[in-house]
Amino acid sequence: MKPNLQSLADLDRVIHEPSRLMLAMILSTVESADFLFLQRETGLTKGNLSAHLSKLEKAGYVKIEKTFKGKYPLTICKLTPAGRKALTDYRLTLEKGLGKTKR
Amino acid sequence: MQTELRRLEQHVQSHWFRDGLGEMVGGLVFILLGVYFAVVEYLGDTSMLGGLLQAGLILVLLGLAYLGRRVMLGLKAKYVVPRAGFVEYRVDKERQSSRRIGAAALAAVIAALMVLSIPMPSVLNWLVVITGFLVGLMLVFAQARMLEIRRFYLYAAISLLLGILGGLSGFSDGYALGIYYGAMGLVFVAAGLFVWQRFLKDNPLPEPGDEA
Repeated sequence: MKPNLQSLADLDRVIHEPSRLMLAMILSTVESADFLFLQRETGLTKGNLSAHLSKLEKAGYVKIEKTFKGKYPLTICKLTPAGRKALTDYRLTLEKGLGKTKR
Repeated sequence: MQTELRRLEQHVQSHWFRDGLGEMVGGLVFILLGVYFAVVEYLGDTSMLGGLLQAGLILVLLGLAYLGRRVMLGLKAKYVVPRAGFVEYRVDKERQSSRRIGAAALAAVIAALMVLSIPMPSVLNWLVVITGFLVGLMLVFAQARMLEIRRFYLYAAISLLLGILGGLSGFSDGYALGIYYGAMGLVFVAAGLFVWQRFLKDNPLPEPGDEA
């Protein structure tokens, strides 16, 4: 694949941020996951995780549902079809831009 | 990136086995299966109850699988979700159907061997050896390799070993199978308890009001 560096300018900046990329990738492998699971998997602080999830939700990439399980609040997060497409497009753009670059 | 995604998927899916409940409940199911085979052997073909139990092998297998899953989901919701979070897995229909076909094939082979009682050299009880080998194979391919959980390689080796020991025990089919499943069940329960203990230590219960 021939590298096309200019295409890197088209990268989705919502997804491009490392923490949000990590969240989108985790959510892409599951149907849904809750806040605690995402926190354990990413190692982010509650504040950071909350902020990044809000940005993904605002972009329409993640759907968030807040409920309660007994005395514990339960926040369920799910990647939307738009989020899945954004992640796929991000991956393709990155591959197109970098190509098979040497290490 | 595709490889990284696959690794991430494996890692997330292996979350299901991080608490050891799978082994504990699976172990109890194996012990019940062992009791079933021993009881069928004890009652014999001639008694009506023995005949009915023997004919209902597939129903017993399905019933135990259903019961095991219900118990495990209940325990996970009560004890695991508040500590490690909730995750709902994507259903890969292609992979799920190939797993079902594999499990059905395994059950069919064991059932066919039981019904046909294929004559084999009498030094070994081949039914138990083959069962130990097939269960070991399933543990390697469905768990150890697919999810990269190394302790399942150990369970597979133990299954093979118990199968051979059961085969050499000199007991009839039913008792030998009963011993194999019972011993394998005990191994699973003991290993599950060990993993569960470590899971509880690594995942303390959050304070009420925190996310769960």
